Amino acid sequence: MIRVAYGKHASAREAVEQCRRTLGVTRPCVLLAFCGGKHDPAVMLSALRGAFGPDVPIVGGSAAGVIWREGFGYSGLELGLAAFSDPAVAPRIVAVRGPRQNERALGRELGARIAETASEGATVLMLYDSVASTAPLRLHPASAIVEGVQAGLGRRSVRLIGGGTLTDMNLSDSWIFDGAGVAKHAAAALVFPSAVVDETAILHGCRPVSTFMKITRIDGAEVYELDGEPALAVIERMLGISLGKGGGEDLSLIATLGEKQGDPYGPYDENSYVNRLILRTDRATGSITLFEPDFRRGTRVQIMSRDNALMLDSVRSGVAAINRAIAGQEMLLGLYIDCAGRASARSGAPIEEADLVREALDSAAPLLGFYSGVEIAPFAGYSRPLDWTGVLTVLRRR
Amino acid sequence: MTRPLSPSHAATLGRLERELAYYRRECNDLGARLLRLQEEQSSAFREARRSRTVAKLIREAHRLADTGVPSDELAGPVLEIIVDNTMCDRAALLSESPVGSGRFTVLRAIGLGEQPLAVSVVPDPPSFFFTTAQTPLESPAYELTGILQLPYVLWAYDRSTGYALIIGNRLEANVSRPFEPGDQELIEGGLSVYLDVLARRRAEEAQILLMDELNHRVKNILATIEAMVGCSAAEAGSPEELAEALAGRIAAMARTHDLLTDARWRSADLGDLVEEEMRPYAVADRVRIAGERQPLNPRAALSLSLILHELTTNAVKYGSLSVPEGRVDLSWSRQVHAGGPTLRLVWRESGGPSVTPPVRRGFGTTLIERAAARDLNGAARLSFETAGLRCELEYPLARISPPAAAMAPRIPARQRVRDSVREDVLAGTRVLVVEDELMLTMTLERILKGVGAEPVGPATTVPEALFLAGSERIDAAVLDVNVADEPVFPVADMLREQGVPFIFATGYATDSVIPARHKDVPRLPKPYRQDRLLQMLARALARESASGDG
Repeated sequence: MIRVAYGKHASAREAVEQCRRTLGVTRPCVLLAFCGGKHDPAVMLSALRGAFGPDVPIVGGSAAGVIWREGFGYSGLELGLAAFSDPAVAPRIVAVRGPRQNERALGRELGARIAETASEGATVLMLYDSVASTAPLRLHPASAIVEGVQAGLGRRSVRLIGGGTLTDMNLSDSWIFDGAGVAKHAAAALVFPSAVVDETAILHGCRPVSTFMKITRIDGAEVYELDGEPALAVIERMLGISLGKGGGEDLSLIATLGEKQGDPYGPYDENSYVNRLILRTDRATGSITLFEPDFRRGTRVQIMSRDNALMLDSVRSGVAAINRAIAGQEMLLGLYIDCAGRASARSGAPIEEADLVREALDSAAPLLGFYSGVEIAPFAGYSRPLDWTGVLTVLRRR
Repeated sequence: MTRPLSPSHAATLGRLERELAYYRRECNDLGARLLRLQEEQSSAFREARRSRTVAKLIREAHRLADTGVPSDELAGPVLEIIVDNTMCDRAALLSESPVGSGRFTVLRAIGLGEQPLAVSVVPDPPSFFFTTAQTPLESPAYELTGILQLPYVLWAYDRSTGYALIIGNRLEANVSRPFEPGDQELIEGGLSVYLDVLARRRAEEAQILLMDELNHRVKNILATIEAMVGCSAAEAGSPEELAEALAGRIAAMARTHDLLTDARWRSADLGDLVEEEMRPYAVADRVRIAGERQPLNPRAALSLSLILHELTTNAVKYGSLSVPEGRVDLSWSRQVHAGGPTLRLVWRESGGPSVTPPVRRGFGTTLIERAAARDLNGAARLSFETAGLRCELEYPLARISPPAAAMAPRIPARQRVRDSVREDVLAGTRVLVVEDELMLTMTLERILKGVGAEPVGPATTVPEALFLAGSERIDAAVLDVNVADEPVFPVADMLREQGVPFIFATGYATDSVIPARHKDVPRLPKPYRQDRLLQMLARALARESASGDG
């Protein structure tokens, strides 16, 4: 039995109380909590423990916004809870806290712990804090964490889904609840028992608007050259504008770099692309910095335009596919990990795509979602971080 | 080892390369156009969303007025709505005290955590302001960014009330773009909706308070009347005597209520109180009054009015005012004592029948002594001197004076009727009675029949009254101002059109409900006093008759 509740208030205790009223008298074995970034995490944790018991493991973290069956919000004051009260479907929690810089090691340690706990093919929900530092802005690269997790798993195979948390849509900060407390530079995983399986759809929304280009110079996440030309100049030429003196943060609202998987000359298929948002630009070096450092020299990429109409179509078809997959099954929880950039306040979409999800998803599934920095989902047989996607997972009983 | 291409193959390859380059160029060009179109569309939607935000914010905040949130707790929920809609990092509502001083206290903030809410000084606060990366960090940007401890702020200030709203962001391009002049509508909309909802909630709270107070007073009045009935019954010799005593006492209370209402229930002047009570006897210098202006608090006014009424009634029935040559001297003055200043009133009768001390103490005597002592911590001394009754009352000024803040300017006293008209002009007249209170209609009918008049009706609704006025012969009318929750003025208009004299009977203490076209109509305050009703009706008939004659 998994029940979902939502609250919103400037006072953490009042928001928790609103949730508690929805859930009734309950002592969950695990609490999944997503909390608006204007709340003080320590105060929120204390309020949650006050309401649901001092020993309940609480996992989750900050959220740029929360999505639930009846609505969504990204004011920073929201609280969304999923309370697991049936031990048969409750996840086990593993978590690691690590140094700020070594994400791969963090992932490897987490992977090893998951391997000790998970059954073969288990569904694992991983959460980590996206923002490593704010001045200068640096994100924890999900690709390094995921690579580490895969390495740590060894021969154990799991279905890894997850997301990077944010306190708001401006990448101001992030933190997680890791079962023991509030943590930064940390990752936590909910390892579901074999009785629970997932149906997952990745909802896209980017369209290629250029021919293939080769990354000819790159250092980590910083792309210096595309086809031998300064990457920033290529982007500016495409946009027909000069990005000015700013750090180009607004580029993340406009364009991404996409790597097409499989046959590069096959027909367009949104599921073939891994997109990377542009975090910032540097006029001095003519470079652009991506959210993730997983592209390499020689990677063939295309400039991708975020396409709101395509995004909404993708949501409609993805949710319909999920509904078909779960029809007749015992649904436990719908979990929507939604890129913060897809919210209409950022994307400018005329329709809030989260509304489409919550309205279209089979009403028998309790729904909880959060706005994230990065989404992680199985992609072409291998879990990897994604940008500007929505990962919709429905947990069901096997 | 690769073989060289044949000339035809080389030509084909060259053509294909050119063709590919063409398609690549066109593809990239079309892609760029698509990208820009997409961005333009997104920008347009984001701007449209902002416009909707103002409307949504106002709509949501106005809903708060209906939720019963107390006015002093409104700042929190309003701020939540503002934060929700503007997607800012921090926000605060501030109050300037005193208004115009530039000293602002944070009423409520979101996003500032547990930090103490300090006072901020903003010299000459602007009504609208915002900061960008280009804004120099000088006043008022320096002070305003300090409030939220963020570099990018948007501010609105209402000079008349001293309230201000500020929102702020860590990044200039919050969500999509920096603050700009077009955001004035958003921030001022947020502030004004808070002020609107605050004013509405305060008005509603004042109304609730007023209703509670009214309920309290009505219950007190009913309890007083109930006690008065019991005490009066115990000493009355006949039902008529009881009715007369009760009517007088209730009327005395009603007159004091009117005086207090004139001053918004803050105070009543002792001189006015005396004048109201003794006006019927203040002819030919029979009543001499001397005293300075002395404001009384409501409790003292009500208590003293009853005492004065008892003294007056006694004088009229048995004392100096029972004979033409008798007089009453009433004076008051402030006295200085070690225990604090007092007010001393002296009632002295003379020229009346010889007085002998009563064998037993009646209700009036008891009321005078106890009201003075218990209600107002004062003292009453009654001396039954042969020349006439002498009553001395003394009260601590602190107990009878209204608080300084309650000294409201008095509304000018209503025009008073002084000339006496013979009531027998009412005999044989048909008087339309428009009144929806059963007991009052019965009283009116009894009074009218008592002087030979014929009541028409009673009409208990406006349509009924209009029907009677249009179909019956009517010589005069008594109109309740509010009949079955409807103003009676359409009936008044019709009667005026027909030249039928009428008076308004009203429980309203002020004239504000009477439209200007009927301000000249005599008003009979409730509760009725028989003599006053008949006098007013007789006068209205006489005046109409005189104008008709002329």
